[in-house]
Amino acid sequence: MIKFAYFETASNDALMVPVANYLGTELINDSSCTMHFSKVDNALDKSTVVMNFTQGMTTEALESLHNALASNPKDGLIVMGNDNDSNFTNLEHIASVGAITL
Amino acid sequence: MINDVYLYFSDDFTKTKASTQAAAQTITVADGAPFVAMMDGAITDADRIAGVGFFHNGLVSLTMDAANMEEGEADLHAFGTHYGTVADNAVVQISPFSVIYAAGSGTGVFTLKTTTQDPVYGIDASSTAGENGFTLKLEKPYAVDQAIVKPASQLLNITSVDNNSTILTFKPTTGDGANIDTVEIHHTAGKHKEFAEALSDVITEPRNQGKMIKFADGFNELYFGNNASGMDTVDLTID
Repeated sequence: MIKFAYFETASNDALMVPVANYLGTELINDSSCTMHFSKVDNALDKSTVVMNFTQGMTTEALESLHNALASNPKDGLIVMGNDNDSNFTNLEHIASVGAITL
Repeated sequence: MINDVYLYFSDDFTKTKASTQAAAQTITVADGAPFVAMMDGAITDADRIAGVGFFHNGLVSLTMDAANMEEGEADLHAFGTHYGTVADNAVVQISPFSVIYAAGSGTGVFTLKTTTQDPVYGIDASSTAGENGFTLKLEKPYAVDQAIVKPASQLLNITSVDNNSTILTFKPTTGDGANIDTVEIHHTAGKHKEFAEALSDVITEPRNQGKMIKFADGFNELYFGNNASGMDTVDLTID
């Protein structure tokens, strides 16, 4: 089964991307990191999602994100963050979904 | 279902930085190596009391280099009840409840609450600037190029550089065609085989799949398994 990661920001940007396209995650500062994926238009470039987390919880947030990414939901859809769904509980230490750059 | 292994690497840069010294309640730490920049966010007085902010969350620790408690001197430090009896010249671990924080211009500035403001956690700085030395220690990586997580599926190759170092080459986080991300790990001379075995183990062992593994946490000097290859330093070069 192919797994997908889903992100939705408070400003209604959204991205669903195959987990197989995941390239890695890098810290930006003490409260955000960038998840990198192969570019959605298949160019040799990247698409990115900034994930904001509780200030100072850097390694904890990385673990939380990757535990989610490695999970195996029955439908293959992994919701990494959804700031529009009041019923969605953020991953541990994750505060919000930041900018999605395609 | 395919489960990837997420490999965590962190650089082994120096984690401590000294403050400037001033005859004031402020503890100023300048931007620059080994931390590229001080933290941006503020810790307000409400945050301090509520246990909120990067200091409370363990990103840094702060110590007073030497308490001046020598009897008869006029420029002594004074401590709130939380600190108990402090000996002269003792290194004092500063509680996150003792300071607020704000980013300055090219600096980060911690401000100690006085014992009048907070009789429990307050600290009165010395009236002599030279007595107010503090050391900030980074407890976790927090900035670009300090740590990275790479999926094992993006590993392109592993090459030995010389007798005591090996480079892991990954597809770049930028997705560019001609570039790469590399992690150079130094280890005991001649231990390439043990290094390769550890990497093979971390990637292929079913118990390791489906989670993040700290393979070479140079920041904390923690290395995967029993570290039979003697890994000791990590250099990240991220595209």
